[in-house]
Amino acid sequence: MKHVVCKVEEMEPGSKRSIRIGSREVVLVMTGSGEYCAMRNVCPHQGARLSDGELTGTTLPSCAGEYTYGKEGGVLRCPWHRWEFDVSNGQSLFPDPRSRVKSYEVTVEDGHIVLHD
Amino acid sequence: MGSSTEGKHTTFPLIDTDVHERFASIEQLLPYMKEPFRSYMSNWTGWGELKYTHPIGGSRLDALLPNGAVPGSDYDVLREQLLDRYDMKYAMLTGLFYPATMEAQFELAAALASAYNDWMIEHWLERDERFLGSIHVAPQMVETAVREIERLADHPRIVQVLLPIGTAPYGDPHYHPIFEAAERHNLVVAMHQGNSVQSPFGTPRYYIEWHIVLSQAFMSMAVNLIMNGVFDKYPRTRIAMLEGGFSWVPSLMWRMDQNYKSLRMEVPWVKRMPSDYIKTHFRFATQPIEDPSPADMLKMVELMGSDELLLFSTDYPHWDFDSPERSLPTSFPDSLKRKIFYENARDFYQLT
Repeated sequence: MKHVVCKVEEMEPGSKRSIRIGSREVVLVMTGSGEYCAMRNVCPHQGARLSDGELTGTTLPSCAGEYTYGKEGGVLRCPWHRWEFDVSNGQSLFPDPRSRVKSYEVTVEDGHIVLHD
Repeated sequence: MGSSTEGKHTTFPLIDTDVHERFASIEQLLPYMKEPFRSYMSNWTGWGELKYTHPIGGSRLDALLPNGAVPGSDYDVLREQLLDRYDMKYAMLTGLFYPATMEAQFELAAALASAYNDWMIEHWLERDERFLGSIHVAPQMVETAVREIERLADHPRIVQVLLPIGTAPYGDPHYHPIFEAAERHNLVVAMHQGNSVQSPFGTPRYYIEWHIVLSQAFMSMAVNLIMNGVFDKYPRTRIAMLEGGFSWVPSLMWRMDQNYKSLRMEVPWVKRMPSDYIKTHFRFATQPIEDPSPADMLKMVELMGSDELLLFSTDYPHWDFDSPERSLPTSFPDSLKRKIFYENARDFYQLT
């Protein structure tokens, strides 16, 4: 089912907003590079609202003692315990397949951002 | 201000045993300080307690205040996000300003602790009947600490003396007058993690290392208090261990009992099995609760040998806040949840 969320002008790159689809809350993200992503707005850990967290980059896997920063604007970090989720697929950045947030397809149609569920 | 997206669904009233009220600026203590230390405050730089820059920030991101003041310093926000958000019967104020860990200038430490107590009573305790308070002291000067306990012990909503766990071994006879005073005034002694805690290596290279091994300091303190005879000397002493977790308690009880059977002769004043002192005199706040499977967590509670040792705590407003709705497994039996969320603290603190 399609849900028209807002006009494209209403979101800036690197921004996020909380929207309600029926009884569910969803966080809609526009990444720094202009892609739209959406996932349930509930951290699978203790239920915090992910839209209160940070849309950020993070350290990428590296050799001991080396820091490589990346995924700029592509990581949503929970406001409580800072679990990190890849906005493109809702998967946590630590290797635990159970810690995944349901993600939704987002498209642009006629100048509107549209969420599919 | 944000919060979790879940509605209220705890079916029991709560007692939160670890809530961090803060001042927005040290200047808020000035009205409660006398010279010469009042003037020291214009040069205040703190005492360098925490050795790390926090990699992810120390507070819940949804508890940050619009004016940039430290989270926990605004009563209205705390009330909205914690006291009113959950079915909170009592919230124990534990601060996070602990001159007890100062390594020098102990008279200043005592003046700061005393000023903090007065500020906390006026600006927090007397503002909301759900708050219960802690007496902060400078145990470096034990006689002064006892006088501070005497000064405030009769306040109807002061329930404990707070000693931060840092590097001081409170089982040492130097500190015993504090336990004597707490016992005489029927106060709990709460021990909360202080930022000066060290690991066996001193200061580990990374914050994550330090934060993982904090519970070792709680283990060391429990052993220290028991083996130094605090509970034999002051048998009505009650210790609340705050922010140390609890999953280490079963193995520590086993290890203490095992060693006691062989080495009892060194500490003949310790007359009961060490695990018995744990069950009688100690309670443990749940936060920061680990997240194994619910079945494993239930086993861990069973291994403690009593369902009366755990007290619920959130650690609001810190980054490792435990939600009353989602931190304890919802599959725990209702009778156990009721004890952890409410009855154990009610009974231990003798609340009505």
